[in-house]
Amino acid sequence: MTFVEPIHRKQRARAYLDQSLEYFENTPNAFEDGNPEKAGEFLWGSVATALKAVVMAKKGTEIRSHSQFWEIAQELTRETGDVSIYESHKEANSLRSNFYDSRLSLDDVKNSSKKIAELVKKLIGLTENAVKD
Amino acid sequence: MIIFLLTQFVYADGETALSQTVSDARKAIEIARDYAARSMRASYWGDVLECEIDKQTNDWKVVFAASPGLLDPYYKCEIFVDPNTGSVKRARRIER
Repeated sequence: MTFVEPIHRKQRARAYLDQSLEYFENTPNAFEDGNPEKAGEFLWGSVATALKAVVMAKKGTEIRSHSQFWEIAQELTRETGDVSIYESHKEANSLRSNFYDSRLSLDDVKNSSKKIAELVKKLIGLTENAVKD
Repeated sequence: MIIFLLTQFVYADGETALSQTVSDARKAIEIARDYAARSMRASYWGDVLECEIDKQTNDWKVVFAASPGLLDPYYKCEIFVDPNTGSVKRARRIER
């Protein structure tokens, strides 16, 4: 595992946060285009990069595999006691799968986007706290 | 009984099956890291800050940063490793 030096962590974490917000802000465009697969991919991308931001800010490491996202979501849930982190992550992950399966309607994805917005907000908060230290 | 037999088995160079000579810093760090993860709740290993033979005890002294959880801060720990057996003789958290 490669550790990023503390002085570079903030910068990388902020870059991930910017990316996360950019994905999230692109979601309404995909809704307008009537494209639930693309919208779901943006939402998942937003969650994934926000998780990367938290891990970079707190521990200076990168998430390298998909299974690590699950582990981090579980760990954050355990440490904060906030079960919605895991649940919303699971929902975001199902949107990622939908990019390939196309099972969910636009309304399904829109409903999920509310929970995912909350999750991204929490992850941004955790990152901002760490970056402030 | 099996453990007893293993501990009694002595190699030609004096090591037993469950002991190991620690001749370099890399091995000492490996032992410290393994011990920290198992016994000190150090899920996240940070940087090794110091690794040398302690002049007073003649043991390997490994000072490192570790953290028990993703959201927890890193704290400084030290572990003393016996260079002849590879066993951890002392381990403590120095500061938070």
